[in-house]
Amino acid sequence: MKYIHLKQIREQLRQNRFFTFLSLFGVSIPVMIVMIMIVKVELSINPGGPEKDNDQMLFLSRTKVRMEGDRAIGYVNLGIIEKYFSEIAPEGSLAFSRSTLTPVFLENEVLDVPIRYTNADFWDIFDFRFVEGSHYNHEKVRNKDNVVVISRNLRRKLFGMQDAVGETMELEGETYRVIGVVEDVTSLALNAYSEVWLPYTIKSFKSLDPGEIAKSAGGYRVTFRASEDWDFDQIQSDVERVRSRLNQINGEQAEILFGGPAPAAESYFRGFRDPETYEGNLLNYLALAGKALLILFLPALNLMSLNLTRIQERSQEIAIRKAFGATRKRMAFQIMGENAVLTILGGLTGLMMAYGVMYFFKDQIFAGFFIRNADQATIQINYVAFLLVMGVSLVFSILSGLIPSLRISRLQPAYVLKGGEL
Amino acid sequence: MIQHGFKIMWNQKKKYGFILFELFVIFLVVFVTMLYLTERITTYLEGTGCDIDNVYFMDIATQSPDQKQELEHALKVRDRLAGMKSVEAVSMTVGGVPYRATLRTKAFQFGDKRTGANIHHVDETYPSVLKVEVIRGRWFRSADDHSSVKIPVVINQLMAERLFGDENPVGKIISEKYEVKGVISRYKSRDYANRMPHIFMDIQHPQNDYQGSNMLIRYKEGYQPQPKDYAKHIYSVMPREQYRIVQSSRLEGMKKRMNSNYSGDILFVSLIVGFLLFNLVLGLIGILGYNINQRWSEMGIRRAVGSTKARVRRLIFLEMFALTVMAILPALIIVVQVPAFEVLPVSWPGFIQSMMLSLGLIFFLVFISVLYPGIMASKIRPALALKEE
Repeated sequence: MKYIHLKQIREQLRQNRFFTFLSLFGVSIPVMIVMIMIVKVELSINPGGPEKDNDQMLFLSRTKVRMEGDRAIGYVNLGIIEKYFSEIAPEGSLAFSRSTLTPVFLENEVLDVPIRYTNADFWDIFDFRFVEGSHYNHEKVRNKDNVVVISRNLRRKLFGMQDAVGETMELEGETYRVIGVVEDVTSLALNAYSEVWLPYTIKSFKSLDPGEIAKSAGGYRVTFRASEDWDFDQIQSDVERVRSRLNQINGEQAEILFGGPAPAAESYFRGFRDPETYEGNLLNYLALAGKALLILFLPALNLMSLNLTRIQERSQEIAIRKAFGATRKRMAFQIMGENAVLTILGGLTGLMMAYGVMYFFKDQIFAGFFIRNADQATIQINYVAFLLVMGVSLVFSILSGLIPSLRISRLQPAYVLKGGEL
Repeated sequence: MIQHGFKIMWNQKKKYGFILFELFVIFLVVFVTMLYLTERITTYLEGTGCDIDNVYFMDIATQSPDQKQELEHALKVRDRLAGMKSVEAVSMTVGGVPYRATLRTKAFQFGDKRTGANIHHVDETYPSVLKVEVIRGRWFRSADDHSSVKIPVVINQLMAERLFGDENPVGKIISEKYEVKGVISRYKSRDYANRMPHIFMDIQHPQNDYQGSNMLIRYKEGYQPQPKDYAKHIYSVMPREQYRIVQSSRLEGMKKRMNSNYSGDILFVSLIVGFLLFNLVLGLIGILGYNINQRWSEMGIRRAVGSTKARVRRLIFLEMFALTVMAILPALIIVVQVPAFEVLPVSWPGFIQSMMLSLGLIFFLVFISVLYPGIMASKIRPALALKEE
């Protein structure tokens, strides 16, 4: 394309302000929405922070037990974890935790604070950044020490700007000593997020009887970290072996099912669903892609009809240019070129808008509307995805120029110049 | 006049083809969104049927081998907590706590009718803590009901409908083991859950397999919850070697946490569709504006031969409505198949409601987009238009 062509396009766009605005708006908003959607899904799959290496991990958080005419669904039973999972997992590759909520009383308000009971290896598997102090080790967990790690946010609320290590706090009616403070964690990190972390042994019993364990759901989320000699396949087949052992104990009486262990993406899609009804990742990805295409396609339709109307208006201009020797191809390229330039401009605007919206409404978009804690989620636009989205919009916009340009190719200059319509 | 509008549109169907198609697709999208939103919102508005303000929840795990002693302990704890100055009522339960992720269900039958139901073990004070509404019969009372071999139960209205239809359930025996004492109007385990049958069994009945205990504590208006004192009372009866308080939360907080994701999703979906509709309105205004410009002389002639301003305006409106109807009719034919062939689990009333809403919305948006071009058209001065021609 020569400079003169770009200049023509620029003039076109400048002279039809309303049309330009409509097209820019029509392209930028869908691009923005789709980008935010992509970032949201990506952030849910890999929320960063302590879970930033979660491509090395498998997650298991759903158990279903079927008995005759009776079924229970919940998280994973502690007994199964302590008795079986800790047996199959190599040292330091198994993290498990249970999260609840408890009120913390401040001078003039009550906060409902999430707290998480964890094992000691939890701290090795998830990558927390300590502001001060340190975490609890195996010994403290074994001794059921009343120690807690708190988030920087909670430290500010409880102790102001001072250091908190060595201070005490009250939780669920008991007194705990603070031994560490960590950077805030985003609530998108379902397996690590909390404001308070404490040894799980404080509130647990030694395992119950094996028959009971094999047919119970529980309250724990489990994370397995893969290593060189314990890869994903190995983990999955080991857990499956545990499951069949449990079902041997259950005999005819009951059957236990696990919703995992699954990689991060799959466990995001699985969510709280019944392990038996999960229909696979592909379908979920297709559904997402379908939504994105629809969002990009609808405005393209808009653009198409706008273009078509505008061609009528411009028929005289086009006829004159044809009369002076512009070829069909030349004219078709001009229309499509205009659309392409508009789409690229609109896409870039959409990208900036996406940044803006995500910056200002971070919490609302990423952390659910009422629990506002996406502060620590690092928003990263996936540029490969952006290029893909741009590609799709470009295809749509060029398509939307295609039909009008085809009509132009049929245009008879003399007829139009005399006042005939297309 | 209406026929005229349709005719004009039909003659220009080529020009309006894309708008037609766009309206068609947008209507489908709006309809599906409306289905989703009305379903979510009505589900939410149903509520759990419980009054959870000022209720505190304590989950006590146990490892005592002796179930009888366990029940005694729990009863003692309940009485001690109920004796506190700031406490209004206390109930012990297993499972009868809204906003928790764990569920137990079981199949029940009456005659040849069967249904699955969520099981909750609760005691006689449960309705005074969560304020569930008994609409038939009464809640079970341990004192008079324990002599019976049958376990006294209370069911929710939905379960009563499924098992008994129009019959009065009070006094009937379910699954040969449970005697229905009363029916409550509604109960759900969380706001966004679908309606499910629920059954509440007497936790104190000797036939019951008692396992563990949770305390629901309703504290008096104007007081703060006092988990430290609650815990003190609990551990004064239950030895720490056998019992642990594994959760201690306000139901309010649990509700917020449970609902937050759903509310976020609803907001996100509405925003997306809102943007798309805004886009549609702008597009329509643009296209119509250009078209009116094109029809400058036609409008001039109309005015010249005696059409009033209002009639011209009305014509433009009618044309657009004709167009909308033409786009929506095929969409309706597609959409009706959803409940007719049970593609999705949608009830007719819900379907009609969201249909009305989306029809209303689409026509409203079209109306707004025609407003400005319509006025423009009616302002055309016949003399000027004809002179230019």
